[in-house]
Amino acid sequence: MTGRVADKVALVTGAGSGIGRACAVALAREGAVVYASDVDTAGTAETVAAITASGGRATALALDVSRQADWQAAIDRIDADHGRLDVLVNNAGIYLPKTMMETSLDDFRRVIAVNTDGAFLGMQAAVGLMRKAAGDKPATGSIINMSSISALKTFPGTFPYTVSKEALRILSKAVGVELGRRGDHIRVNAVLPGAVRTPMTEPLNADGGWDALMAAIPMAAQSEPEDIAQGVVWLASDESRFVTGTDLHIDGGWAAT
Amino acid sequence: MGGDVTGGHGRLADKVALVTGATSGIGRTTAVALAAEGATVIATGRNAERGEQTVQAIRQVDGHAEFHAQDVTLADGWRTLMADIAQRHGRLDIAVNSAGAFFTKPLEDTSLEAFRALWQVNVESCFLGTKHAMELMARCGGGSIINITSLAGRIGLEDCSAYCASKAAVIALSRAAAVEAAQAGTGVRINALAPGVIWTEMIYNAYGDTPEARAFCIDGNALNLLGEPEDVAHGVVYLASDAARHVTATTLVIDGGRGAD
Repeated sequence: MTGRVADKVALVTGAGSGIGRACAVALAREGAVVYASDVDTAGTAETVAAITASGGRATALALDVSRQADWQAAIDRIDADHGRLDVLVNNAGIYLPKTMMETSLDDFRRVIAVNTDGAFLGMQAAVGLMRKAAGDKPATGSIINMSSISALKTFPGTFPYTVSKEALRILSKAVGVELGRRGDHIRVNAVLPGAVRTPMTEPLNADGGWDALMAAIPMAAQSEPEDIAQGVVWLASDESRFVTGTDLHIDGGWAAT
Repeated sequence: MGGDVTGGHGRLADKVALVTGATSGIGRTTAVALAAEGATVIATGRNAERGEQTVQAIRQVDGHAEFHAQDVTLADGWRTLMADIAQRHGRLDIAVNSAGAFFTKPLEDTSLEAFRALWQVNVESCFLGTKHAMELMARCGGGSIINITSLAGRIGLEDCSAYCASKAAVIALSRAAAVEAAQAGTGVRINALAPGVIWTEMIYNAYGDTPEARAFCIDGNALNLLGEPEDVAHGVVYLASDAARHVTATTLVIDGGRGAD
């Protein structure tokens, strides 16, 4: 298999739709063996079908990222199949359009459980197998956490989401340094998408928020899931072997204003 | 080695790219990487002999390149260069402002003359390069400008006040120009790329080509790797390509985790 991530084994969470699906498809197109996971098993079936139809390699996994037992089962499965894991894309996330005053403690915990705890549990579960994959070769393991420009730009009515994504951004830096210093040869970076039209962001569209977003973005254009997937491919590949603890903004200039 | 940049996947096919400071280090390796991905490269620098070596390195990977002697601090030279590119290639898609200088000196020993000289090479070059490339690119429907700055523009580095100040200015200039270019609907993207310590002539001329200097470069980053020009060149290719069509006004840090530490 040729390609920029040829024969790397990659696990993408939230791969049943949107950005996660685009990441799974792009990684497979560049030669990776992809595990597409989601709670939405109909979605992952579609993702896998799309990949295999174009000659790629993919397997669907049911995985609720907020459940530690699910993570262990997923990692055990990949270990049994391939004995290695090179790329982990912690993409699964939920969005809740609420202000701080509207957010109940249960709401808050639910968003953090998926968006932040999910990546934390995923990294804890995956690092052992990823370290095996890296072996004595330099920096081949790559973890990519899907943060958001919401981590840097507050947008009214996105309170729990904003908090979860900023936590995920910082968590990526902390773990990147920690794993690097341990000599694990595993890199950890955050991707911060701007305005991407996906099933998750549809609620924004419904109340006219999308137009306000476009007005706030210098390029005045929405990004496609594929734009985010392209950045993920770069971070997953050995082209970025010296990149860790970094934020990659793919946002049409939104964060700069 | 920081990975091979000569493979190429045709990601910049039919694009025309300008690389300043292409006579050594990051600039030269970037020029080779862009050419290997299919771009026609105009490599510039002050030293014609070394510029020709870059052109030869590009021809060895079956790339297209030409050298153009340039002092990046001269506005007239930029105008001439842009007119020449417009006339002979009809377009400019990528501009990498890589020319730069470095010195290490305590602040109290840094003269105003030395500070200004560094500012000219590091900041005014990017000002002129961004301004002129943006104008030509806007006429051609868009493009990607990449200004090579440094992690030193984001953190404090001992005995490097002048350098840190100049590189922070490049980050700010790139960000502001990017917003301007996007809001004007030019299709021009502008990003800063901030390498950490990369093993190049610029570094070993200042610190010496010694095991201690190498150890110093490796020591500061979390990955315990010696950063190499190829590591930066791969990032430039990404920013230059259409894969990054929505990436603008950012600073891409390639530093082995040094800045996050």
